Amino acid sequence: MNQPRYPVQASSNQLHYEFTSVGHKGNILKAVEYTYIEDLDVWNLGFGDYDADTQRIDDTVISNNGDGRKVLATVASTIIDFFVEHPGETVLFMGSTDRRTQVYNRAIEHYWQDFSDDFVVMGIDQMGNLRAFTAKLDFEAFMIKQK
Amino acid sequence: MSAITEQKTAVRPDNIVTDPSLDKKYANRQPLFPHKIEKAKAIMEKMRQREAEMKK
Repeated sequence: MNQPRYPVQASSNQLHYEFTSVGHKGNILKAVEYTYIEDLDVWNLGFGDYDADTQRIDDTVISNNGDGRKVLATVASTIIDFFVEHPGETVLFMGSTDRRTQVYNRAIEHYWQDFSDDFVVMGIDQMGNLRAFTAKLDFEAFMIKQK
Repeated sequence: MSAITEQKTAVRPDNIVTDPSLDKKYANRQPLFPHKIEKAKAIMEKMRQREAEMKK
């Protein structure tokens, strides 16, 4: 993976990650969380900005900090790290809005070379069909497993 | 040739380090994105229904 990425701090169980986005709007603390959904036997990937005022994570805000690709590459690196500790598991993720899901769609396409050798990426479309990822289709959610 | 295919081992990216202070910060905390979990359940349910329809 040769994309620029931010340094990341990880919890010991490799389920929580934090890093700081540095851009023209200043420094923004980002948090990534993997949550096991027992009913579905999948891990949900959540990611958003830490709001120091409310001490909450907001996954709907659009930071516009001018470093979107670097942020997405950093989040992608946490997926790889998650699988170091949790091999054989499945990660599910989707955007908090349709627009953000489309951003993820394009991001997977962009990082496809980095991921496709080691991971299987599937998309779930609006009808509920599970398909191999292709940039030609818009998906509602994505599933990633190790090969 | 073995019939067993070995899963590849992921290697920790070099930009990530463990920070034990996060363990305390996130210990016993509710999931940060509960609405995402509900959305995930709804999407997966739709997928399962679709799979069931396709098998009919």
